[in-house]
Amino acid sequence: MKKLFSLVIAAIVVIAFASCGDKGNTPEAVATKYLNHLSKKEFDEAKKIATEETGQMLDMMKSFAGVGGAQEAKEVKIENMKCETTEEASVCKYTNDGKEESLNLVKKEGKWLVDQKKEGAGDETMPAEDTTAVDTTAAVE
Amino acid sequence: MKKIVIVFIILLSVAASLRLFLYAYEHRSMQEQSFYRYTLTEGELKQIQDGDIILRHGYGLVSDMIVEQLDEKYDISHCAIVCKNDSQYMVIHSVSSTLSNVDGVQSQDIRSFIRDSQYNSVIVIRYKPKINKPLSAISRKAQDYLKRQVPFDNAFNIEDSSEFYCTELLWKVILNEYGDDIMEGKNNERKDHLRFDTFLDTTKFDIIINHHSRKKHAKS
Repeated sequence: MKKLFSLVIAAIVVIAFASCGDKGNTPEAVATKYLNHLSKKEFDEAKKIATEETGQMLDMMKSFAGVGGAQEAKEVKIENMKCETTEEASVCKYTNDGKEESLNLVKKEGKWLVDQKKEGAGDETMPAEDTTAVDTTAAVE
Repeated sequence: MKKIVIVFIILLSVAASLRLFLYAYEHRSMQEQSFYRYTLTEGELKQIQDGDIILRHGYGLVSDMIVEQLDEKYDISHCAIVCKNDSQYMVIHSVSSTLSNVDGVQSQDIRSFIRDSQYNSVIVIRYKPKINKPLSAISRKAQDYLKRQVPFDNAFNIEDSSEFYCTELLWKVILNEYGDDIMEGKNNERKDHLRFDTFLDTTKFDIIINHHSRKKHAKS
């Protein structure tokens, strides 16, 4: 019984130390960092902790923000960050100025990266039925 | 030893209760989301005509950033053209492939489009033509762009008309069909080409449905 008790204590100690390992590389930390970068319109910084697909979305957001003219970065209040995490993926729920929101993350090569879901159109979105090849670089009238 | 076992059992019970609480909370949130499915009433759908325009605030960080960046009277992040055939409704709009499974001009069922909109964020408007031409010309031209698979303009450059962002599609359709430059006088400010309040100018558009007015805390 004493041996079993020692083993349980040893396991708890190992788990506790392991979880203290890289505090910056937890879904909670990465999601908070990402949202803070977005609020400050630091799109290039946000891109460093995002998947390639989300990076393309950030490029588009940067382009929009650039055309929209310089605007003061708004202070946001990210609170109640709670992530439900499996080995390879995490869904983080939080409140942004009191509004409930969520953010998806995936683990790639040991690093947690933000993987923002597509949001523009639903599943029933359809391209044109006519798939005749078109010159998409030409101006359209 | 007995004490340790009791403490261990208590700790296990606390952890199990916490897990159960989180599961119940998650389940309730999902139920709420499906309960608040945003739709137009049958009466509102009957009011909508071929060629009408829908403005909305979508879900997600990008939509919220657009609203924040534009800082307009109504929180709007996207727009689409209604195409109505008999009793079938669909919308044609331009969305980036970074946000949608299709890049550029695409069609979507109107109910699905409304469902993807934030609650009470939809506004339906109708163009007031300066020439005698039916409004169906708007949806016909939009369908033409749909067939041509015009890609999304990720650079938001209105001077390059080989690609369209959402308001650029509406601008181009009205310009080509009615010779009316609804962005006229805004050419020096590129930001103005992105704004949705252009479509709320009552000298050019009629507001048919405005769900923003149902909001408790509407912007003044």
